[in-house]
Amino acid sequence: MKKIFFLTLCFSLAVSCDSFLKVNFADQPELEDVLSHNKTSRDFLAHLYNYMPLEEDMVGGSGWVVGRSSQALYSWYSLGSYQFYRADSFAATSATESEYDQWDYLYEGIRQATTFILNIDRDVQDNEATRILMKAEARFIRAYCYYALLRQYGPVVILGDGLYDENTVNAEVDRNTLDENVDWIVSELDKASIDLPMSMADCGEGNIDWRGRATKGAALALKARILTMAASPLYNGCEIYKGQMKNIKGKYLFPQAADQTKWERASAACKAVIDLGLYSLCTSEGGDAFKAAAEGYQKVFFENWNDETIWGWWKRTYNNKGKIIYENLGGTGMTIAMEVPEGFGKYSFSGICPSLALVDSYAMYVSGRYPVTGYENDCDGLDYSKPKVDALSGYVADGWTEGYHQPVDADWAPAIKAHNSTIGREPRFYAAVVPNGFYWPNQNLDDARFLVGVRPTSQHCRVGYAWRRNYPAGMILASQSDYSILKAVYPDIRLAEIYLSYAEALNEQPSRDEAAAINYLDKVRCRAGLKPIEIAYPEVAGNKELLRALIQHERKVEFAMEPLSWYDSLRWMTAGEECNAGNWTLKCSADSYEGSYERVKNEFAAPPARFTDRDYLFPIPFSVLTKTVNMTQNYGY
Amino acid sequence: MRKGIILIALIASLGFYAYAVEPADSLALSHVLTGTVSKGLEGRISGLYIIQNTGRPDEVADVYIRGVRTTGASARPLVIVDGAESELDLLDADEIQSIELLKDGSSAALYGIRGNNGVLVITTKHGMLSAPQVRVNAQFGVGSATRLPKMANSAEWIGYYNDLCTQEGVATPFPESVTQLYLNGGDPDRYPSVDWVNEIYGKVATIQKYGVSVTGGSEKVHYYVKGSYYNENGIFKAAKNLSYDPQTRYGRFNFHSNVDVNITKSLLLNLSLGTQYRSARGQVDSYQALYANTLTATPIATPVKFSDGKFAMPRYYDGVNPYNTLNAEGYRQIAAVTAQTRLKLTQDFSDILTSGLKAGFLFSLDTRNGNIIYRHRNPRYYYMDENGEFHSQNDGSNYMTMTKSIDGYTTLSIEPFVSFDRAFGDRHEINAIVLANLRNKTDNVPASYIEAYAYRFLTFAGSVKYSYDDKYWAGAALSYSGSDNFDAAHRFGIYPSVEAGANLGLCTVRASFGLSGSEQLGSAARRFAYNSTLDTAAGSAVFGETGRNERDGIATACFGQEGLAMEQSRKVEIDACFHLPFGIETGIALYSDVRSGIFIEDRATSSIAGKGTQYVNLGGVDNKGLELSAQYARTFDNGFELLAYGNISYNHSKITADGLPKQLESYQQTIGGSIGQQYGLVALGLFQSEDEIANSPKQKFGDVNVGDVKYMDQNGDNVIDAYDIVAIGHSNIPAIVYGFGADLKWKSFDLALHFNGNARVTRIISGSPVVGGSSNQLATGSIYEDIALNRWTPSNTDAKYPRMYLAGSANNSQASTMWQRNMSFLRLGSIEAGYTIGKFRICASAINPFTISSFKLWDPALDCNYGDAYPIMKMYVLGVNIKF
Repeated sequence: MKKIFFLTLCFSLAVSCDSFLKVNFADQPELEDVLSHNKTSRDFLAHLYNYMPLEEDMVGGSGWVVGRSSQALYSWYSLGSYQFYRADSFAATSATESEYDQWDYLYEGIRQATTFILNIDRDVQDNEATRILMKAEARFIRAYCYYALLRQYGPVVILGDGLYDENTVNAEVDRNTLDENVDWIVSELDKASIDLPMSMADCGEGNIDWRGRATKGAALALKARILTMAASPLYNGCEIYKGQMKNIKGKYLFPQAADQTKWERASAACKAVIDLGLYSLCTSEGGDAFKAAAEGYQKVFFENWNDETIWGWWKRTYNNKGKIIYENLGGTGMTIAMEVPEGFGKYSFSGICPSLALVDSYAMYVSGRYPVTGYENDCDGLDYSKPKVDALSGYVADGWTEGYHQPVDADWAPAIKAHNSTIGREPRFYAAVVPNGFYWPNQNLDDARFLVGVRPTSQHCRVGYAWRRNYPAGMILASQSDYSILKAVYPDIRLAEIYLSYAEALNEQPSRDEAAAINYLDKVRCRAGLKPIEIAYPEVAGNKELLRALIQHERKVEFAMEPLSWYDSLRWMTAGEECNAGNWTLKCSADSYEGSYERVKNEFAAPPARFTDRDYLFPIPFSVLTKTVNMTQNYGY
Repeated sequence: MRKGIILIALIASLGFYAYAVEPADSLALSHVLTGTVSKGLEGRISGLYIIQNTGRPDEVADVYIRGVRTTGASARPLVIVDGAESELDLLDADEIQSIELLKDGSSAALYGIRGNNGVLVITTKHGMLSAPQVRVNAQFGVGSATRLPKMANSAEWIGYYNDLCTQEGVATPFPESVTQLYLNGGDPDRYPSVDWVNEIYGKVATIQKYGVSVTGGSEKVHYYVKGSYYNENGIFKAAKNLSYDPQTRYGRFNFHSNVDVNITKSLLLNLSLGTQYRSARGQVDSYQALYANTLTATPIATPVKFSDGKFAMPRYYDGVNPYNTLNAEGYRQIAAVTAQTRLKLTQDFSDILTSGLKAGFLFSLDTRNGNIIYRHRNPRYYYMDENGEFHSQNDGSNYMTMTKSIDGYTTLSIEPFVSFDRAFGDRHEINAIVLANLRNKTDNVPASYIEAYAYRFLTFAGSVKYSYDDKYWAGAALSYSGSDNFDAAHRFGIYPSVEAGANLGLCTVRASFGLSGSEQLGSAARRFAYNSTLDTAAGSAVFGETGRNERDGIATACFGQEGLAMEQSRKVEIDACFHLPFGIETGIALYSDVRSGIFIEDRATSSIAGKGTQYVNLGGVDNKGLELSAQYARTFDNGFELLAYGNISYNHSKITADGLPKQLESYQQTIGGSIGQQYGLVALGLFQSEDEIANSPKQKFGDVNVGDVKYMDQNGDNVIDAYDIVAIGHSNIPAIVYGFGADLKWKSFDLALHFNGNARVTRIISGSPVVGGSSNQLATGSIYEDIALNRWTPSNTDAKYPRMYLAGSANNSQASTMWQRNMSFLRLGSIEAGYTIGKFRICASAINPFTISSFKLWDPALDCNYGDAYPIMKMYVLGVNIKF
């Protein structure tokens, strides 16, 4: 009896064994299913926007390049890979371990976007127009991912419209040339711009508020940015890449000769954005012209979705990739916390400060001229204690003025004794910088005067100037919740950039148009309250080189401490000049306020900034080269 | 006399599962008072690799049979307790009757795909025909760390810091007057000077264990019941005056009952029930943080606490205060209940059908329910400025919050079997068995959609053995075994094995060959690797005029791999046992274990595919190994009894396939290296002059100065970069483990000694307390005293360690032979002396009383980079055993 029982049991087991081990996945989410429903396909699309680089995070996100530039000094100089990159001691292996290595992440974004493009036609719950629109958005995001790779690593492997071919032979994978990269990205943006709406209000999504999705303007503006970049010296036949970086097909990655007609493509692309007629510079009307100019400039950051913003997004929370404290403050709150001086807000500690180079670059209000034209050199590079001052600018490098009233956001503040170098500057200076001895723009504080004390044990960044561009005057930051409720839009591409790119391209292109170039440069200067360039610098007439220098200088000031400014320094190849210097600060350890305006370079304990020819590009990470062993490494690594 | 742990029983036991096995006597095991069984097995059984990574009471050791033999997801052996899969460390050592290791291809055949890495078969104690026998054991001990890190003290640290400041000409050294303020201790709030290791680690931990067992039986029923309690308190100097107790603690109640009932003359029922209630307590956030903070906080960073009772925290943005980590932030309370049920019914058909035929089934049901309660406190921390004024660091609050996590599983298995064991005539004997095993494990608290699927195995297996005159035998086994991890075409594997042996008098030899497989795919999230998945909780995005329109994110996650199959193993083994004069027994085992198709991370698909981490069936490893053991047992005429034993195991693994494309530099192929092989640069010493730097290959990791590490240029391109990284040293899992010892008994006295050790093991030490800080030195720049005193300085150019920097040195901190250390050690694992008087035996023992190793900074067994782990403990124990 028992034997029969066991035999039966064994038999039934044998028959059912396969079904016992068979797993039923019928209910799991499947790609085809997700992309055929309008709710879930939008979620897939929403996730794609995650691959926009974290430009707004100046420490752990891709905005870290601000700290690598000559415009800022960070407390985080000691953050491993950051320090090594800033000191030119970065290697391909460090790239693998670096939180700044975006290679894998961006290619992941490219795959997700391509997957979406190839499958979204399944979504029959949406009408065709909506599907076309969403496809164009994915195309825009994918192009942005390529752009983010391009600016960091130089030209990369273009995968085209399809998914990565699984049969690819690793040893045959190498990077496409710069021209191939640019042409492909631009053609993608052209395609996307045809289908994208003028504004998201046109997209037929009903009454749901969709600001922050890609628009026609965004695609055209990104195209203008990329074409301007491609026409610039680094990418257009520069000396250092001559005979360097030849890919497996025998093509040089970088053009071996300059082609100035690329500027014409750039200027046409800029003009296309301007011709949309959708955008205008932020301005403020009435009252004191000086204050109005400052307010107009401040609106760029403080007025969400202003008319100047062509492409932007809500600032995001830190993505936890690296090491940063206060991660619960939210994306917006954290940027602010890192900049507000110690004691002026909970968690605040001046981790990010403007450098003396940035402070010096702001123009004089009355003359409209930039006060410092350059520096003497010392053993570490530029010597910021020895600026070459433009005598016509009206800048006074030494001495004090009693009874000075701060012109912006400090009507309530008593008069101070101000250092002469800090007075008479343009409105943007006061909208962005708080020099030592000035009042921090928050009258709610008991004592808002910003004075760098003697703190021998503090390693907070002590430059002598605080950065306030992200801080709206009067904002109370007394508790954690004050930070976490903050929300702000990060204006990634704005009209001022297009104007200045347009001016630059018009000045550079073979069919040079000086009048138009000056016109567009003056639009940005005018909003900032500065005199037209041809009045401030009459000698600019007919001088292409001077106009180039002035456009570049204007851009640095306008985009102070924005990642764009760093990529400008790279494409102009001015970084080599700017980024070799000791860590100059005011003498924060001085016994008296009067003694603090001496410029010294031994108080900020970090290796001097160093920049060599190889630093124009990030190394291709070693982990990538172990797989595709024949991939061309960047020059100098 | 007690039998020793090590018996050269390679051949002695011819039971079905028991080839190439080494039973361990249970009583000897219970010598060693440890929180978990695994820790006490170090060096006891040849072929058993016990890696004790930490001394934390509730941590179990890593257990491997014949070392790590696969690059796949799991190199762990299968653990069988009373016939069904379980966990080694659930048991109390006293409950164990025997431990057998199934190492070769044929002995583990019946376990199918689960037995690929060997099987640890544990049998618990059963009752016998006797009046009730009661045993009571009580042990109490005190312990301390075998070795604690020795960090630079305040004076040494300030000297070190000042040196670095002066050397770099940046940052301000401490003026002599300020240094004196720190050192004289007159104003500890403003000028603290703290020995953190001494503040956090106490001198004495306590350990205790009590057990009662009753065993006996009648004709029809045998029983064994046992209850025990184990308790170990942590080594930390926990604050006493708090509303809660922050000390690390571990406690465990074990109950076990084995009942054997002869229902009829031929029908036997075994019921085995085991239940464990475990509790542990520790730091709320991470255990690691406390160890790390203790070694990184500088002596002058912050006072332990301010004199008025305020919690202190350095003002620096990344400052830490280990005292707060231990005492101020709350605690976690862990509780877990585990239960194992085994019901086995065996019908003997000898009198009904044919002699020697038995059939029956084993039903098992195991469960675990665990929970962790996190009681978190976020008190207000202060720092004091140079004027003696307090500033708060955070909002802070006094109340505690509570979060929790739960886990658990339910495992059910059914194993019907039919066996046939009969002798024909005087010389011929047949042993045969067929069985099926069906196992279903459910995660009660799955972490993801995929993990909610039950884990299922199914095995059909059979074996037959013929032996002649107890001298020659041959056998064969076959299993058909499958797992739900694979698609229909790859779900099952067929695994045959054969063996033959002969007893030649002085020597017994045996050879075996077998195939097996493994279905381990690694992380639970990557189960069913043939199936593509989506992540429905991918990053979301925010849109809208006011930023209130937040959309969920969905993205593709893992990509299904077609044709994925099980890892394969081919094992060949030759064993010999020599029965030498004077009762000396020696054994030798030689084996090879060839693995292929190991499921590993895809190292070939370029990241431009954008697929994230993928897995493929591409790994391969060749293992070759050797085990030797010897034993000498003798009872002398005067009643003196002696058992001496020793064993040594060596496994050499060689990776034969790893899926990595051919590298530009052939020496960078990982193929040919062993599992866990360390890679790094070869350090040639320290640069002694600028000339030397200028005339050496350019080192491209960072700034290079005099006193920095000089590396070897492997490819002759005059540049030191990632292409100069080569295999250096070994792995941090030892290739060789060994143990030896002796049991002695004379009249009422007994003494047992056990040594264990390992060899061919290295570790590349790293981390700021070793290679120098790169972050905020004032806050977290603590450094080992040995390094502070023996680093390169202009006056100490022939230094043991390179130059240190305020912001660290990328060049010097590269993984290299500069920081690679030999971590082999020899330990006196336990020593016990006992005296028996009547029903009582009193004993005194010591566990890990001394360790010999060339590495001195911390205990070489710790699995850590810079000593940041719970120290290995040495214990001194008093005990009493009562029998009546």
